[in-house]
Amino acid sequence: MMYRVELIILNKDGVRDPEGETLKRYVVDSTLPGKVAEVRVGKIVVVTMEASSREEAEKLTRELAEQRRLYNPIVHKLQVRAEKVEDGSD
Amino acid sequence: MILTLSSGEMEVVRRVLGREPREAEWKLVDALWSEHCSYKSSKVFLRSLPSTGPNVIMSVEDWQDAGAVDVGNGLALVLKVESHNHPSAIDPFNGAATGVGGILRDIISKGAKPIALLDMIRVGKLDEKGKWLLRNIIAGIGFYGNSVGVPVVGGELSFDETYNDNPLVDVACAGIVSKDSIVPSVVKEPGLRLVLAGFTGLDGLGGASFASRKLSGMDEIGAVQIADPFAGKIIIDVTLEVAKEVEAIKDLGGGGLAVAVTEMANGLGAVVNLEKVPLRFKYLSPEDIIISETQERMLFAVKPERVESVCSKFREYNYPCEDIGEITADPTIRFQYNGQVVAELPSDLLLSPPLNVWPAERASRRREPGREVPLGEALRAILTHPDLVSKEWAYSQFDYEVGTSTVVKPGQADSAVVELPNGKYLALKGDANQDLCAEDAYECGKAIVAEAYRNLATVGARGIALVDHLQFGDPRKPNVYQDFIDAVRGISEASKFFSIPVVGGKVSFHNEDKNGNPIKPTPLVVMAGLIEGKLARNRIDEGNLVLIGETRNELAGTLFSRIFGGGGEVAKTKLIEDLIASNLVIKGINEGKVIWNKDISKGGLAGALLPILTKGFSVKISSSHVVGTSSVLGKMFSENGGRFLVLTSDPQWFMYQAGRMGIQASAIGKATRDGGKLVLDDETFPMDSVVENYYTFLEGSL
Amino acid sequence: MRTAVIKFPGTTCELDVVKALKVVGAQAEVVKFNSLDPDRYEAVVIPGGFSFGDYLRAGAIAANSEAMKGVREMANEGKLVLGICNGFQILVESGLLRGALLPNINLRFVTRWVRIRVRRKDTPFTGESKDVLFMPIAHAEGRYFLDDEEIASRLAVFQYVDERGEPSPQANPNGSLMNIAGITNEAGNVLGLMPHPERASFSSISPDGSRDGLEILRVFGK
Repeated sequence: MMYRVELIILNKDGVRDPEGETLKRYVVDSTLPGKVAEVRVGKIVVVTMEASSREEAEKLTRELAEQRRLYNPIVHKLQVRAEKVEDGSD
Repeated sequence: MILTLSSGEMEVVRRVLGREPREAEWKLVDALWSEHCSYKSSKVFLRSLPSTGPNVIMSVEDWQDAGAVDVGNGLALVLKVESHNHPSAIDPFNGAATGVGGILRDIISKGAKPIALLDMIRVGKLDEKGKWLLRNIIAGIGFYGNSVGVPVVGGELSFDETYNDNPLVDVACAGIVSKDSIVPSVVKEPGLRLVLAGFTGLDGLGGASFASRKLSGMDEIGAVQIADPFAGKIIIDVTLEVAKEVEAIKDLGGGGLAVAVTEMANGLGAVVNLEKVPLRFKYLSPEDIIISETQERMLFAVKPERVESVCSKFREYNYPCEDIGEITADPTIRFQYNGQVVAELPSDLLLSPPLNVWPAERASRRREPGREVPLGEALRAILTHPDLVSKEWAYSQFDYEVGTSTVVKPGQADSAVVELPNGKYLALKGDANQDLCAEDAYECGKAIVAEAYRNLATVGARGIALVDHLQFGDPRKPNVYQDFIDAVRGISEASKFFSIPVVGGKVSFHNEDKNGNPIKPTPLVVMAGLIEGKLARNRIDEGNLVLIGETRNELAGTLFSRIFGGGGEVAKTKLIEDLIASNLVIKGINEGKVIWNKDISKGGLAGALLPILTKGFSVKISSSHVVGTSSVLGKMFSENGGRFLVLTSDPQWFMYQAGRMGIQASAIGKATRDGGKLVLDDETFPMDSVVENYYTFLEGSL
Repeated sequence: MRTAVIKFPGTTCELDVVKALKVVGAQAEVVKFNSLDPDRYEAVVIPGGFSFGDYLRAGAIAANSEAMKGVREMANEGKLVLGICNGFQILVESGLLRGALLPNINLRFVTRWVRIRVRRKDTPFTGESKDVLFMPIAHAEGRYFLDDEEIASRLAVFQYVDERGEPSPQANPNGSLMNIAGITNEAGNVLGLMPHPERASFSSISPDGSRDGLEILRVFGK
């Protein structure tokens, strides 16, 4: 079965995100004054892969991210979300 | 609470105070007395370095900030070198980037405009982890330097397994300021306001105190500092804009506000109102505000009537700036939160930790006999070694042209050259030699100063100032400490010999691999020089090859011995040879006799030939004309100092002048345009694969 | 020509541009991003650097700033607008020039001296220019893209070329569509390019002593 797995890489809570801060200070706050508490910017890696279950798809991509340093566990947090795709394409 | 203070040091604190310090006070003492801030294990020896001279405008007092030398027309050059080794091992991108930010803020602390950066990088083997480290270190340096518009004009990149777990990321910066506008880091009068620009956050808080609060369950967060070059650029621009309105400037580095305030007060006192400190993270405790090491902050001492003017310039950029306290006549450093005392300690206690002189013992180094290696194999191994390949992969990621003053660019010569605002040409070079230092730290200390001096001479410059950075393992290990002492002695002796003042320096201990073995001792010097006569353009062309200096069969502590082991003798540095040979090269440049030249260092004569071979030229060498040893391996790969390789159309001139000066010079061969071969006597070595490797190795590996 | 050189927070090349414009006799001065009065100037240059840290996309935040309203006004009045490097990125992000500048094809920042061919000499900037210019680039996001090759071909003013003057793939430093290094608008008074003419305006720092950047900047001295 084909799964579409999203690896979302963000700086950990408590680790600064200057890009998000700059967007908030110079763009977001002037458009939505007083409304926005925080803006964070990260990366998303989308992997479409063959796996026997959602759990396996998530496990394999998490291992991939850890082994090949797709993120730096000291700085980043990783969210992994998999969902089944019908025909393997988007 | 975990402190690095020893029980003896804690006793001293209790005795002087006559009471048990509060928690915040322990942290304050811990920060000020840390090796990083206090130089307690190195200071005794650093005092032997010559820090004065006729051109010195501001000598470095207690090794805290950058010094300055006169470069004519009312201008001063500010020079500084620093490393970010440990942060770069954890997070190479941000670690290297914040290292650049830190050194830039040291330069602007003097009111000087940063005009050039150098980066000296040392990593281990290029396995998966090594590649990850190097890619990110280079990208991080580029990210910061490029974003703030300071050109990285030169540097070094060396690969040695001693750095597998502990890469060395050294960054140096040169700045220019008019002589009468240099801003001090310390104050002389009470009543000045303390003004802090920039947010204070969680960054750089001790991992230990964090884990105990289990904020996120991850104890390393405190050790990570995220680089924000955009904020750094605002800090640079505005600090230089307000420099004339303030009495003192200090960067917030290691030890944060605790160290900056105490060192700025310099024996006077200070009151800091912590509730006034602008926070990025509002739950910071007063104790943490004191020691947070958040980047992109500056502390100013300002006359009360100018505070508003200074802060308004920051606010124009939406950048926080607050009056957080004042300098007092009472010599006490007092941090308070809404009037409540958090820490209150005598200035004198904070600034005067008990100094350490650790037991030292020279390691016995068993000399193995020299190895015999077939010449072809040795040539191939040396000439394809990553230390000698083209570094374009790295420097092309740096904006080395910004500032429109980079005259000699990365990869063009042994030194970088930048044009100063007064029209003079400034040459810069950083040098270290872990191979030689691992064999004999004293000879190596001398050798790296001599090498930097020679490197400046290759573009026609004479050294005027240097800064050093001393990188070793744990000073409590007697062999490590002895190497440190020996290296300082060597650097001191050589800089006195060349009459070059040491205007700044740093010490980085505890560089070890994961098993606790020290790295090879890696002291590093960065030398600045001025070109008083002609600039050598050093464009390779056909010509005669002249070798200046004597070649001795000293293969221990060389690239050859790193690759093949063994080694025989260690190179003894004869400074007089370096001085005279440099004089000869500069004279040759000024009289138009030099087409191209290079000092002989890593890889020996063979290494010096490589740039010619890679530009499409063949080289023919007659080994009998390489004088000083009968060993062919010694002739080709010895790295002893005092030598230059010169391309010239007038070899007789060099031999005649060398004879008058009392050194060797001999015509050893020719460079011709029919590229691709190294001919040594009657043996021909094709160089096609060496040349290809030279241009493709880093690009291909990374 | 009375020329404003705009400094955004994060701009790094404003002084270099002023220095080079002085060489051609322009009356150039640095104007901070929040204080541009379009009526005071006959021309404007947006220099290189990293405006607002180049966060989000290079030039994106600056493109939406107040200062760009003034620049747009000047462009509409037919005044000269030149964007160099980050300035070019800001001009495409603000819509004053067509297309987009994407991350370099190898995803790395690159500094290199390159040759560019002048394809159009009917703009005020290039009217008296030589055919091929030698200049440095220094950018991470310089891959020019437009989904209509015909328009791109018509608007392209500069193309990266090799030693023989050909726009070969080897001469393309960043993967730009058709080796495009710089483009103009339909009217020809707005020009953006990735190479830095101000860095090719002084013989002491030029690898071969040439000063080809002045070919483009000369118009500001009129």
